[in-house]
Amino acid sequence: MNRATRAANGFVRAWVHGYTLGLPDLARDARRAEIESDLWEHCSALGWSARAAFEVLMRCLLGIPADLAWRAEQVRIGQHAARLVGRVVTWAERAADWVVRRGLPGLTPVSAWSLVGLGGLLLILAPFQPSEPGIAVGGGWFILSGLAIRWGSRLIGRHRVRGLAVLLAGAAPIGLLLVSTLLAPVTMAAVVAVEVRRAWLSRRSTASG
Amino acid sequence: MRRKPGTLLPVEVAILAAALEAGPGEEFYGYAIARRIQAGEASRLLTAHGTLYKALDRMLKAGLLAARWEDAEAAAQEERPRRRLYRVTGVGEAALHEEARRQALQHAAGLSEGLQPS
Repeated sequence: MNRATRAANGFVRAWVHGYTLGLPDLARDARRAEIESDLWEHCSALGWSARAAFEVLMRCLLGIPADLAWRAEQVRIGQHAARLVGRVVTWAERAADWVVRRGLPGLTPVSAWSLVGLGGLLLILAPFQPSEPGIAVGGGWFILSGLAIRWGSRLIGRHRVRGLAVLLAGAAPIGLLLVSTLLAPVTMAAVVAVEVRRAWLSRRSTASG
Repeated sequence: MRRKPGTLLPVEVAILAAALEAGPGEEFYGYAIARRIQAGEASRLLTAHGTLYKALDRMLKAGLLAARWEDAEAAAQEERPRRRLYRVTGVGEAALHEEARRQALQHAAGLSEGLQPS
């Protein structure tokens, strides 16, 4: 590769990188790879000569208007995708708002009693697995967490800080230690959010009444 | 460029004609088709990058062409970047025939107009 072809190819690459910047990955990578292949084929066919450098440069310069028009088309496609994502996010926000306003009735007691039930089941199974002492510990911990969540959700209406502390003492370790399940942290976060929201709403209605 | 639906742009006609010259179903890549077009039109310069790849992209979306990326190993063996291989689809072939028929009709109409007594 001589200096002229290196310079011409460098210019073309810089131009392609420039006009594909910020485009969707698929379109950007495909165009860059395709031009890279074209540069190689072109220079290789003409023996990496000065003529190859001239032709490469001319093909790039003459194609600039088409490159810009192509980019404009891709951006329009990107805008459609962005609008779609925007719509989905709006619907998700509305759903989340509805959940918070309705307070997901039953979420806290169901979660709390499920933990108590699961803990009880683990305690029953523990004697059958003497080599796994963790089962009994986990069972006891689940029961205590379930009871703390239930108690905290009742307490938070009257004593905000104390209620929140008890709620978090029950929910946070479950959510953090079982983070890999995804379901546990999401449920526990929802329980805390719903109870805090409910306490805040009841306090506001008491104050305004 | 705006155009009538169902018609092909000159660059698209050139791509389809050059691709089908090698035989239906034959695969080609960007530089190779640019070279064939240049030979066919006896022009001094190859089709510009932007014009060629924009047209190929548009033709892919219209279903006139199908494309696949060459096997990376095959390219690596020859120590060159991977080619994107295109082939003309049945739709593309039909579109080219239709375009040729349309142009022939236009040509004939032009001739008959010229032959009419003034």
